[in-house]
Amino acid sequence: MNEMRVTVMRGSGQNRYEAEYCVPCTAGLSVMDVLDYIYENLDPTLAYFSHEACRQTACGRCLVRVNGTVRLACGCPAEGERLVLAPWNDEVLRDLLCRFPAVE
Amino acid sequence: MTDRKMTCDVLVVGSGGAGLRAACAAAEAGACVLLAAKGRVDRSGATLLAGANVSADVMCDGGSLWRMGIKSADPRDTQEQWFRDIVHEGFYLNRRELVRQYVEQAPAEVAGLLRSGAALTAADEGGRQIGIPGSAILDVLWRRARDASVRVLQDVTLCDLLADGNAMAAGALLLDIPTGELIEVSAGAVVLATGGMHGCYAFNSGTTGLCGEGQAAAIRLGADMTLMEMVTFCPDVICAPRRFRGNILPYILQCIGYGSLKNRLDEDFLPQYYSPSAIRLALGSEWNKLLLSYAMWREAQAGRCDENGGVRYSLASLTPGERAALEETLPQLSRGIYRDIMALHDRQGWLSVSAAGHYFDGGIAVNADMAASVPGLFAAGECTGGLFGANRVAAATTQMLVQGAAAGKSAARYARAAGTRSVDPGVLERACAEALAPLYAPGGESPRRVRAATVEIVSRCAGIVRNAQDMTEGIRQLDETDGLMAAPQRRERACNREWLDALETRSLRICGRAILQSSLARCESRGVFIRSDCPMTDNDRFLCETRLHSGGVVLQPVEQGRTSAEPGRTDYFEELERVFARLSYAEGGAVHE
Repeated sequence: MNEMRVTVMRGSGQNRYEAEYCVPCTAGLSVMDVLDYIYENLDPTLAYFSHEACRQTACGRCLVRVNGTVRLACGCPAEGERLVLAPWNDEVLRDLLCRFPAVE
Repeated sequence: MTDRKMTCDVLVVGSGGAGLRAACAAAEAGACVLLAAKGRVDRSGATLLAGANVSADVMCDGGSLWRMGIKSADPRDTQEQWFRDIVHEGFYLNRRELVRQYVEQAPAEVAGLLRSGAALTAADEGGRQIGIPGSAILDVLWRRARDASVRVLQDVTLCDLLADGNAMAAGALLLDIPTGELIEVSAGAVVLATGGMHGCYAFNSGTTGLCGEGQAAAIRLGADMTLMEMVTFCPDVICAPRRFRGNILPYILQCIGYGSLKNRLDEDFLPQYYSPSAIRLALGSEWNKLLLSYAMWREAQAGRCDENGGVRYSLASLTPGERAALEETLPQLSRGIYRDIMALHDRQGWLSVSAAGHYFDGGIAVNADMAASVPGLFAAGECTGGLFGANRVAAATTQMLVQGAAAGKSAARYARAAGTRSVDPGVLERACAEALAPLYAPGGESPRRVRAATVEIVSRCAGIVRNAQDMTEGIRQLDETDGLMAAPQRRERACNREWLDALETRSLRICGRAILQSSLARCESRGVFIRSDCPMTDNDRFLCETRLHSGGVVLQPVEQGRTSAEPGRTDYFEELERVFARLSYAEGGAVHE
């Protein structure tokens, strides 16, 4: 089976670092699925939006910078041999989880 | 002990349609309201995904709809007829006062939505419903809640309900997920609106946050539950690829008359189980959930499902004209995720679909004031039980609006009379200690693994077709997982998903155990509940609710009133046939194997 190399920008504040993961490449995965795979199989300390996710591009909360472009993790296909994932804005809580906008 | 303290008259837990509607009603009645949302306040819970956020049915009797100007509605339909259909198709287990409230209050709630200017979708076929995207309902309700000065906490989860010295509900302990802070809320009354227990099933159609926290907290507080065994599965849910897993779009398309189902061998399998008229009826009504899920289960047992465990849903037999009509009816199909799903369908010729845990007919036992058995505690929407009896055939969206409004109003009234009460310090201390326990566990299992084990047991033993042996064993296995200490690898509180997994697993185990206990007590098959070892519908012994009370299940007769069942025991499928034959909107028909 092919593998995908995934680089995730982790940590927060002054303590930021890149972590590398190898994820099996199966057809029809989203970036959210890749993050779930890492959490479930490789590193349970990874933080990303997952606590009330619709997984169907309806809630709009799982924003992640994917290879430089801000996307919804659940709606973005995970394709290619390499994926670089970073927080979508500068207000990082931890890893890929950013401060949520206040209630409008 | 806690990091923050807050007080309010009414605390509403859950921010889907029921919670938002309850918050509006309580605030409009003059209460100071705090609304706790697990995610974004206007994008949490199953309401968002109702009708795949393409077109959710909101129901009301046809006559009232017609008078509101909905010309597709049936003007001859009445509330009385709708009441009879709901009870009849709920196999007579419905709590009648809840059905009465539902049919009588539905017009006001639907009129409210129409007045708000929410755009209707074109897919509103049928005499008793209009179609609105789930997100549009949430937008309307959130605007209203904001105008009524409802205060909001986002990204918090319910750890426990808190009682005062007299064992009355007096608040809740919440966890702020991003910061890891514990928040003590003192309230005059609490409304639970936490939605379904979707997380109990490995394959489900809900959002990730729906883990039965409300139901589990109610059980821990000592509140009675009812009909926990009744779980509705949605048949045409995409099961692969993983990116689209859990999406109910094929079901929505099927409900408006598009698409067909084949097994792995390309066989049209429904005629094996049902007569042509039953198939027609089943595909065109809420009955499709039960009938198709059962047929799919049979196909899986017979080894005729694909490698994903699914059957094939296909639009391939549509003529170009029909396909164009479909795309005109649902313009969303050409955008975003639905464009991707349609492209996958067109490439393969089908979508792999299977039956997913979808709607929980049972839950917290309430009366028409939406009061639970513990004073000060109210509940609304899917986390309650009893309205739909053994089979939901009418809209859950209308349920959340009607019950939300009633719960908010009752809670405000109760809080005003009861005044602010103080949480029992011992209760608070215990709740905090239990919430924090995983972080201080000396060692143990990965929370993710304990969760997976728990979900596997419930999914396997409390599926579409159940039996006593598996369920007894399932309860034993669940109690074994209770002994596993879930210990997160990282011990900090902020943004700790493993910690949340451990807390959610506690709720899933309590809910899963309640589902299994109640299923064991119902030694028959009825509505969505099918037991291979008890294939009869038994109106002599089981026109009863299964009431979970103080840890045990008691059978309590359901008041039948004027809409009552015929006595006797019948074969489950013959009973389905009788129910079909009496449907007010049906041509009649036979179901058989």
